[in-house]
Amino acid sequence: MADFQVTTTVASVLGEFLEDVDQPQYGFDLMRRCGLASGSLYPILARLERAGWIVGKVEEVDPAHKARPPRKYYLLTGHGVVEATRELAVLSAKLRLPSTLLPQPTGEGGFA
Amino acid sequence: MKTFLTALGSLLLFVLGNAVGSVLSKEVEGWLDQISFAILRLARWRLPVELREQKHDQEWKPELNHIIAELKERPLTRLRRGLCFATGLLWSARKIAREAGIPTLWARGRQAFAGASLRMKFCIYVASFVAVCTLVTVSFLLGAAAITAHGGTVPAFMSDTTTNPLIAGTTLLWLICPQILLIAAPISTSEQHPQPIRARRKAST
Repeated sequence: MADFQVTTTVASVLGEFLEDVDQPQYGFDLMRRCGLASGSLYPILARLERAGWIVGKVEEVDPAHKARPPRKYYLLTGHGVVEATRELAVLSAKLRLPSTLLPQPTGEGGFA
Repeated sequence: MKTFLTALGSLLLFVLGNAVGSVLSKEVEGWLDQISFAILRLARWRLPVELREQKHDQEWKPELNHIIAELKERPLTRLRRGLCFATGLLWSARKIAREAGIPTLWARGRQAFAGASLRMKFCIYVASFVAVCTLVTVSFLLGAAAITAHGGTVPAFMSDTTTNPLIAGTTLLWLICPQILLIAAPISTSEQHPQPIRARRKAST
């Protein structure tokens, strides 16, 4: 169980991490893919890092060669993968459409 | 000959003007990029000291560098994205510190105040009220002195302690408040204030 509430915004960030667990995630790229402002994303990253779900690392590049300082990226930890998957499943169950609103099959291959 | 010289002069002016304009626009572009970094430095200042290197120096600044490097050919988009990035972090710096588990000085003060006893809170409220009244009174008196120094007529309500309720009230507060604070101040126990040396020596023998 998470120590914090997993909102849909947090879930969208976790979803990006779970897309490819081994892919390093940079802050600005996450902002663009999740459609979040920096003021929304970085508190979430701080929260996830404090909970031990993600770990931050600085890339090992030569600043002189790249002509820019090394950037920080995040990776999901093993604990984070388990917890994130569980929390997304719980959130998904909460947000599932009620069965009464689900389209019913008509038996002729279509839906009513 | 005159026409040729005029044409040559115009051509030279045109070329020089273009060159100077190009140099100026690059200079202005460089300065525009620095605005985002300046806002980011303000965001750094809002962080607790323990987080500044980790967050600003190792994370935010390189990210802003990347944003600016990515859009070398589009200065307006670069400026917009840089400003949005830096301003968002300036706004949420304290929240980031809270989420990282390190409270800011302001948050620590609020925590200390929340945990304080009722008497201590009362003392703080009274002291704050007296401070505000004193500040306003001193401002009134300074204003009156300034008007007098310039040969003007000071309205009676500003300087006359008998007619100005604020000045009279503040004077009264200065007489009463020390008594209130003394009554309301937390009681110290004998463990907090050690006995005099003579009494300690007598107790030990």
